[in-house]
Amino acid sequence: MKIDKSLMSGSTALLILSLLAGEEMYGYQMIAELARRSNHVFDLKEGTLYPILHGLEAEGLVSVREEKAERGRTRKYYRITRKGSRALDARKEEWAVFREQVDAVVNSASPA
Amino acid sequence: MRDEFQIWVDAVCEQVRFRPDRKGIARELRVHYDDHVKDLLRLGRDPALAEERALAAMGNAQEVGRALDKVHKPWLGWLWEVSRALALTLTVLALATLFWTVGPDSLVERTIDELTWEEPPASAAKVELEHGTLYAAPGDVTEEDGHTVAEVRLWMKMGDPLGTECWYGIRSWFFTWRDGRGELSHYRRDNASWTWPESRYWIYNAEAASSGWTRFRQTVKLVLDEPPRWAEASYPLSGQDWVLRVEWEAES
Repeated sequence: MKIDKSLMSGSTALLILSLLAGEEMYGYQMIAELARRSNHVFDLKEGTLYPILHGLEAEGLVSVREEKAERGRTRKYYRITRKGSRALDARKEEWAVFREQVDAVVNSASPA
Repeated sequence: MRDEFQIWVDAVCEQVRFRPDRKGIARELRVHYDDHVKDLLRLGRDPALAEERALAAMGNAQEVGRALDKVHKPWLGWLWEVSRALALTLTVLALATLFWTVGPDSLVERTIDELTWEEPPASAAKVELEHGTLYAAPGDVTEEDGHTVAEVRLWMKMGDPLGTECWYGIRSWFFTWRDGRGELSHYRRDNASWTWPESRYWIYNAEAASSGWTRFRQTVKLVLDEPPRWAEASYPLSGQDWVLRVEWEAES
């Protein structure tokens, strides 16, 4: 099942920070992991990952390290920072409240 | 001919107004695209199809470019570049000022000297001077290129850092070296490749006024024709009547 893009846009930073909470990752690895963990429901347009990552980096929520990969290429690895971990906790709480309230409204609107 | 991905990535980068960041963005997107293509090839896809799929998965170039432009703000980027250049300039200026006032050789030498400082031995000859105490002690005697090299170790400990008014008075000490048996051909400073065959003086604290250092150490190597028994240092130009004498134990 594909979901509405607008539903995802507000939560992609939360999803990315959650992925990075476990280990440092490079871009394509994040896309592949996101698809795997969400059973291919979260199929992000891959180019749009980078503005989000660069934004998180600018906010100091993730840090970047470069590593030489095959054929002389440089691969960028992203890692969550301490500030990022605190932001992740806060966003998880926000998400829990949001989900609870959306469920409450959606369920109450159902005909008895 | 540009490949399809290059056309896509160029369209992305065109949207990013802060030009210095474009290269890095393009490189990162290229690595991502290559990763995806490789992954599809691993799954047995036809190369042309793999490239097509990977490119389609990247999304709309304008959309990605505009989103990147919002993060890579030109004013922020230039502010960063300018502050970096400013920081570099200030560092260079600070170092240049330090080198100008203290001297590059002296700065390094004095720092090493401070870190490896050893007090003069109790047996060292010493002379009390107006601004401090000068010590001398015999060091190693070695053979080098057919000459005898005898070390004279010198220490200067001042009561207070010199004021600028003292500079010219005791900036350099012109020593006259005499030794019992050998004829002095020239002398050189420890750790220095150059020699002073003519001007026999020891610049030990030219920078003392500005640096605030109050203790100095130096080893002078006398290059002699024969092993020395003693050497004397004096400062006849000062009109002061003092002599520092160091003596080596006779070889058994």
